[in-house]
Amino acid sequence: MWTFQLSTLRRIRPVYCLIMSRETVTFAQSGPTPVCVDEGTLPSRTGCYVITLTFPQPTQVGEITFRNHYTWAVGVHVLRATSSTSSSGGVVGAGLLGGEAGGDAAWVWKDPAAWQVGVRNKVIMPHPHTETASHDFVSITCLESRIDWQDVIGMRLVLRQPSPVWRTFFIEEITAYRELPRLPPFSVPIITQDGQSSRNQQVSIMERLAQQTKCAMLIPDDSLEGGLSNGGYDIAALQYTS
Amino acid sequence: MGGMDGRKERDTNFITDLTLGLVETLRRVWSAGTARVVVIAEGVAGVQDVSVTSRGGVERAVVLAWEQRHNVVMPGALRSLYMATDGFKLTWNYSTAGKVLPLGNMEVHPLGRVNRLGTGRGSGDPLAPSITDLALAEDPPLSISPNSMQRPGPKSLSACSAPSPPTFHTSKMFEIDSCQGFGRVVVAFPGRGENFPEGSYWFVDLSLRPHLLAADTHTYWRLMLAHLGMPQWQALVAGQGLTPWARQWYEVVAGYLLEGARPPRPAHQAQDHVNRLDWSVFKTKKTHHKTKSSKDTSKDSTKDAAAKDTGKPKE
Repeated sequence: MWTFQLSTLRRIRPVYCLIMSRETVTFAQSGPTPVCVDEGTLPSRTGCYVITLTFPQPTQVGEITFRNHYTWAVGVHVLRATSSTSSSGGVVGAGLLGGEAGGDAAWVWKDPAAWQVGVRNKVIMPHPHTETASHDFVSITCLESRIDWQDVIGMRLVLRQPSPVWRTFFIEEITAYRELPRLPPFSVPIITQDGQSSRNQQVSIMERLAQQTKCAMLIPDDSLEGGLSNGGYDIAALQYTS
Repeated sequence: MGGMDGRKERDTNFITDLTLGLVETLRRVWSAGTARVVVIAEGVAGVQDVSVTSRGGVERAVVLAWEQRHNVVMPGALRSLYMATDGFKLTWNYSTAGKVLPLGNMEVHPLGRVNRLGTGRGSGDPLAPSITDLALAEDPPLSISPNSMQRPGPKSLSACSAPSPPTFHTSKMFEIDSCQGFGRVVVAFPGRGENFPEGSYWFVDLSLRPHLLAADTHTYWRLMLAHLGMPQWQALVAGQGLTPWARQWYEVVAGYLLEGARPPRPAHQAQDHVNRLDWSVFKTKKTHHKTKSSKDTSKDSTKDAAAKDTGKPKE
């Protein structure tokens, strides 16, 4: 559901950026690297790839966005600066790529047990054999993660596609933001998993506008702080349908 | 000359026993044509070119060497299969609208190709993690690992109820079928702290996630026969869904397979109703294999035992 909302959001991105520009986090990206299981033989086809994001210094990450290209599910593995490495005060991630940082950092990178699973397997394409949601704009926030995205020095995005139908799959336009999105939750027509769009898509634009205006007038002042929960203007939906 | 014929006949009998008569059924359906169709499934009438490849069995010592190399004990039934035939391949084509399409495929790798999936080691390259590296993060071993302390334990709770799937860092998985490139069938052995049945059969899909197919060799073999070796039958059984291409051919050839898994019979009932393959009959055949003169009797015993087997379930 998030997926569809954000794909709508993308259409109004320029406006959105003017309203509130968000701080992005810089990183180096490597991969996608295929993950194989039969190393002795010829490299066979695999439906598992890993993209590694390397952050130049320990950082906080609030959200990652990307565009899907036929990926069925994404897992997020996180490498965090441990107390020892962060106290050594290093450019930890740079230690991996640049090679000038100390042995501690490199050691953490090489220790498979140091990686933690934040998001195990987020399905972003509900039916792997068919096209639905294959090109969506996807957001993964730190709220979905089982561990905090603090002091992050590396992230692995584990892409999976079990269906043999798609020859290639990947994600692109990966962006990391330091903070969570501060958008009011909006109610765009949501396509449920069985492909039926929800009821409110049938409502005409005028009706929707009238309804939203009425709701917006009713917001008590104190609720503005926590976000325009149920009464906000449905910016995205208007944009989408006009 | 008579020996040749007898040998051929015995091989045929062996195949018939091994496939519970499926080969004969498929062939008969085809050769009978439309006039006298023996229906095992609606519309199998286009099946042709049923071909079975079975090789000589491997020596017991070879199996033992394999077991020692990998430090596992092969399931008894699978060992019997290898000592009777080193791998197995059954294919058939489907003829429709003037085209012949290779459709059916049942395969068990020769023992020499039964390799372990994943080395159980890390890659050592942080930018190119191996499947073991990923597995270590996803399912940290129960011991040590201070990281696992921070993690809430929904996984460990669920592990108590259903058998957890094999993992690439602790379990040993050996590929016995590459599923024509859309996945793998492995026979898996649990490592420390894992609770799935030893020697159970799993379908590892392209994205390298294992799904249970069968708890033992008998069940796996029967599943393979029951699905006629249709394309992607493993994915169907594992609940992964068929590609549109494969689904179309199920609709044409064996639509009843799409109706979903039939509930397995309770064990006590299965004792009475299910005829089971008695793999032990192949052992006797193999024991006498070296002395060529005794082959006739051993083959006959195979046939007899198998015939007996259909009537009276063993093991």
